[in-house]
Amino acid sequence: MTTRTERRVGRTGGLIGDSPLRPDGIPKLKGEFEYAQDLTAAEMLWGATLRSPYAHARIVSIDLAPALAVGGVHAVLTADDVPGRGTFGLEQPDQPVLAGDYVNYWGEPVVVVAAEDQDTARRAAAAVVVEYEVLEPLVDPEEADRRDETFRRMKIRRGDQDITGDVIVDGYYEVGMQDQAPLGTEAGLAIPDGHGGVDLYATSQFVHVDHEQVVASLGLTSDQVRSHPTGIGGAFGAREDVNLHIHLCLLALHTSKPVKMVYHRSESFTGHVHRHPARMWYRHHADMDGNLLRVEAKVLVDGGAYASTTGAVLANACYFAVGPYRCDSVTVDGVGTRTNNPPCGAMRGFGAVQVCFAHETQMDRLAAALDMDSLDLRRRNALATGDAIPTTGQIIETPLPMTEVIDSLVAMPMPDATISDSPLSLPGGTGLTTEPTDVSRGVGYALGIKNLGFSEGFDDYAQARVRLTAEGATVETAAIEVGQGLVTVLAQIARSALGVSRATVRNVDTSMIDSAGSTSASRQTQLSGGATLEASTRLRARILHAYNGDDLDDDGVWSEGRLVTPMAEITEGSWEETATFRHPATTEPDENGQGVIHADFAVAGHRAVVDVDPELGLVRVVRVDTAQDVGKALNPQSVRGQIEGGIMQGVGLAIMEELIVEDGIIRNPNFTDYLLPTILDAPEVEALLIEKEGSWGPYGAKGVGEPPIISSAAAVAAAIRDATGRPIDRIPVRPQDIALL
Amino acid sequence: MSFMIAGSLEEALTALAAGARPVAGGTDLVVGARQGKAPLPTSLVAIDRLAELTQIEPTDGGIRIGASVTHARLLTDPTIVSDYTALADAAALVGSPSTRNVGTLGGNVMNASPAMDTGAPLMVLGAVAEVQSERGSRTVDLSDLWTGPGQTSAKVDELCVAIDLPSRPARSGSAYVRLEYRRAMEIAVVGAAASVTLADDGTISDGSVALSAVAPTIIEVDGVAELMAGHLPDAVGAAIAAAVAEAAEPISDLRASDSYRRHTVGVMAARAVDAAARRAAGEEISVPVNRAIGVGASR
Amino acid sequence: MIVSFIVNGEGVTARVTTPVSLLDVLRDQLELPGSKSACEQGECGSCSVLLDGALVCACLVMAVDAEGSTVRTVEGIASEGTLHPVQVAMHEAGAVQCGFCTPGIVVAAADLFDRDPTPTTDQIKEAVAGNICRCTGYGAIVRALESVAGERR
Repeated sequence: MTTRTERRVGRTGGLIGDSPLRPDGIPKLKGEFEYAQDLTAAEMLWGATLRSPYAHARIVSIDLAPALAVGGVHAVLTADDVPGRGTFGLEQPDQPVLAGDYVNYWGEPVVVVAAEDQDTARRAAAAVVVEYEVLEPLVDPEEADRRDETFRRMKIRRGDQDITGDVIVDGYYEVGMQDQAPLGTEAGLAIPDGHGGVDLYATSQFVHVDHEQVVASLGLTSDQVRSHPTGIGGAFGAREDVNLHIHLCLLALHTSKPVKMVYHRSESFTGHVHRHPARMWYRHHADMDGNLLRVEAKVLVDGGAYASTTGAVLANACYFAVGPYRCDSVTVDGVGTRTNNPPCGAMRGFGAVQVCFAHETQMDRLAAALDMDSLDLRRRNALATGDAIPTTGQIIETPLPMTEVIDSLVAMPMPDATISDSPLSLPGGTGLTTEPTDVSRGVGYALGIKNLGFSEGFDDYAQARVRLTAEGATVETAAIEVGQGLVTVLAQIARSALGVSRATVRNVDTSMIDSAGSTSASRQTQLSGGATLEASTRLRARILHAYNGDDLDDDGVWSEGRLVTPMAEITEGSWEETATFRHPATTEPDENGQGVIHADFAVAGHRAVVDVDPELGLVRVVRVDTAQDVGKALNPQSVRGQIEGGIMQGVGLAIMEELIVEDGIIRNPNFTDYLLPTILDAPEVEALLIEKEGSWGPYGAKGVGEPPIISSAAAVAAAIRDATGRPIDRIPVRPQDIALL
Repeated sequence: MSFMIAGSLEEALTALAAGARPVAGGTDLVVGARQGKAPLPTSLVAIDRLAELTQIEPTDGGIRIGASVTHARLLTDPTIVSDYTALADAAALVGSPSTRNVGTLGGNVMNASPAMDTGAPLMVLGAVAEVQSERGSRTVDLSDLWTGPGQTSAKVDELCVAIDLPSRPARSGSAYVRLEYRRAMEIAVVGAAASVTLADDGTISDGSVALSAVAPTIIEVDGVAELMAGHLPDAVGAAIAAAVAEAAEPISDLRASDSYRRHTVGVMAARAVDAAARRAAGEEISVPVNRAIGVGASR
Repeated sequence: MIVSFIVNGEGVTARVTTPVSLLDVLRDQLELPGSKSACEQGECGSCSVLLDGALVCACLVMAVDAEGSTVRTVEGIASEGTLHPVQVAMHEAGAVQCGFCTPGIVVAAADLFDRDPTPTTDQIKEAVAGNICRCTGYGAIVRALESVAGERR
């Protein structure tokens, strides 16, 4: 095996555009990779959380005595034990570390316990007696809108607000609450340093913001807390907010012992935020030739009990409410409501997913009303470089190959029209449920657009440090590898820019380097990659300058084809460069939502082919083809991995993944009832990467993580509509929505 | 908690008489304990290694399937696949390969879930459960055994040791059809099993239909034999669907509304009758997963 | 009570007090954290192990009932430093992202290829149908396992 690995790496070189093997691949395949769940420390205690059984209640009293009486319990803490600010939140610190007078959602943490083992900790938490006065929960987001219970309202007004079209299409759409469902649940270990400070190792997408939240909420000083990147089993947005982080530090500081917590699956479903459910009202106006004249939309996303990132998700939903189309007259009103539903926040696609389903359905309906081919309609209105984003008026300055995406998608071969009779290929599972004669086939298209990086004037940056030693190049960063392959691509960038063949990525904690920003918004390849490129480039220049050379490789510094200084001599010195990369500055929106709001954009398109048994309402997604604007594919294998994985989550959103919330309570917080697609549900995927360099990312790369999910769900919904003739104005599409109409 | 691995059936029955609870793998207990749900029994006896419970053997009037026979074995056993195909259809749909390796027929029957997949096939195939205690052995009709969701009429000291199935008539076939949203690791949204026997002229001479997940227990639909008798199989679908929709008492839950269940269980039953009749007529309709993975034939 | 069994060729004993799962004993007592706990109810396959040669979810097996059994975990799939062909192929195909499902898929796929060196694509899919992967969309996993079957054919 070893020889094979080496041969492969040798063949590809591990440079930009190659697909070298993942450095963490073998440990993961052997079960040796250390995840947060696997951490241990001497004399470690286990933590557990008591959560609210009500969506809304007043806490009348808490009796800790029964928990303290359990043998092996070291601490039972409530809101009264939280020093400092006592609250946290990504946009506003509105969420209590532990609930004080009121609980505002089902599953809100009320008490935390540390005990000698996990079972004892959970039993002790369950033994706490909390008396609640149950209050009426506010669970209808439209009622919350009427009562002005909101986190943010958005108003976008651009162009003529009175114009009407020759053809007008109205629609109302809903998107259900999806969960990120990363396979690794929330887990972490906090170790007190003996001097009032603490080291935190916990599942995260953004250790510097965890650090900031722990410091502020517990009244510590910045240098008392170190947040360490640690191995995590997926993220998809679920780890952008803190959850157990502050509890772990609180318990560790209180007991002066290391404390570990691992959420079980059902706790994970309440312990992190979800994708916002959305309700969307649309009106599209066009002239008889199919030119989009005006789009009016109202977008409601329900933020649940606490703010999390609702403001930014709502803004994104509104900014991309029209989709990747030119339109000079736009009216969008948005509201992010505050209710007693589970808090919602970041999930892959971040607001763009919800509106994509709505604007793409509208485009199909508009095409039908115009008696026009839906792709011709899209092509006619497609955004391009130099156009204005229809909502914000921002001129697009980087390549935006929307037309190429459409043309590529159409040119991709369609699957065989024959409906397979293989039991593994028919709707209705693997039984005798459906036969080929019961099946109708449908094809649907959808296009999507999303921003890359953080927007609205946020100071978005990433720092990376590159060292050159006898072992080769080392990239130091606090950026989180969530599985996407950042550890591979940063090493590729360092190799390519520095000129050496050996490069590794080393995660360091918050005390050792400045922020890399969040592993979200499709941003790390561009931002941390940009910082790595800049640090590597500067380091190379310094070394060349120091040794009067014109080239650097594994052998050392060269000048005019002659080796002037061998590497061994160079690495006797200390060589490191630290770079901070910022993307082009953005602005906050004005009162009409106008401005240079975003740093960059990416587009993609999806074509879905589905087989449906209309009598039962069962769907099998046969195939999803895609063309995606990637700028430059730094690691084509990783890009494809992001595309296939994102499409699978889009298919899940389209046909099966939904958290069912009734009266504020999640009814299916487990993997038996929250259905994730299996390998038998996975469609065939063909992906075409459209490389048009010109973005500010390293080597012209764009972020690739989110576009695969934005329009894939909408394409599947369109295909189901095509197969059945049903309206399909809600995703996930439930079988009864097809069969009972 | 005391735990004993029974070395013989007698040992197991003695332990049950002393108040132990039988486990075969202990799946439900492990999950329940972790979730802090049901109170834990103080005494357990493991029955999964009793060789006498793992046999599939012919009897005078049919076949006897030991209670500890796994789903994985049912779906590949040649006699089950060829003669009691509905049971193989059902076993093949349970969970995933790993859950089929541990899940047992006796475990299914005694769990008495209204959504169990093997229940409706057993009913249309005329199965009876053989239960034993220190007090003796008796056989129970499944319709008498299942009294409600998760409830049976068996006494606490009684152990289900086997399921007995009668021989199949000539020109008969059976099938189980299930509705599921996901293509693996699913629980029936609704399910229907059918058994059909054909006369020489190709008309139906006898038949039965049973349903999963539309009532507090698995139910057999009354009057199906009369409804089908004398008709060609392709002429009975609508009548079956109507009779089934009438018999079903579905509830609305997370997975489906009552009206969707009532609608689809009729379609499922009609399709089960169709597949059973075609198998009875000699057409090869493999247990679907087996066909995909290339195992066995069926009728 | 004490339970004794064989894991990856070595005899082990563990003390268990409640109906703790085999998974918890492997991870917490036997220092074999490779099997992952993700759903705790047999719905994801991350804890797949071979128990007396049969693929099972270790989270569903009561540890005391493993008495006298032979268990093979992901840590025992590579032998003497040589990776199993399934591991090699998954590495090369990019079938590993976050890696949390990977141990379970390695065990389920190794079990398949040990029973049948040249499975069809449908057989491959059916064999790992109990293993949820949230990252890859399964494409690279299918390609990896097809390549193992292809090389042996």
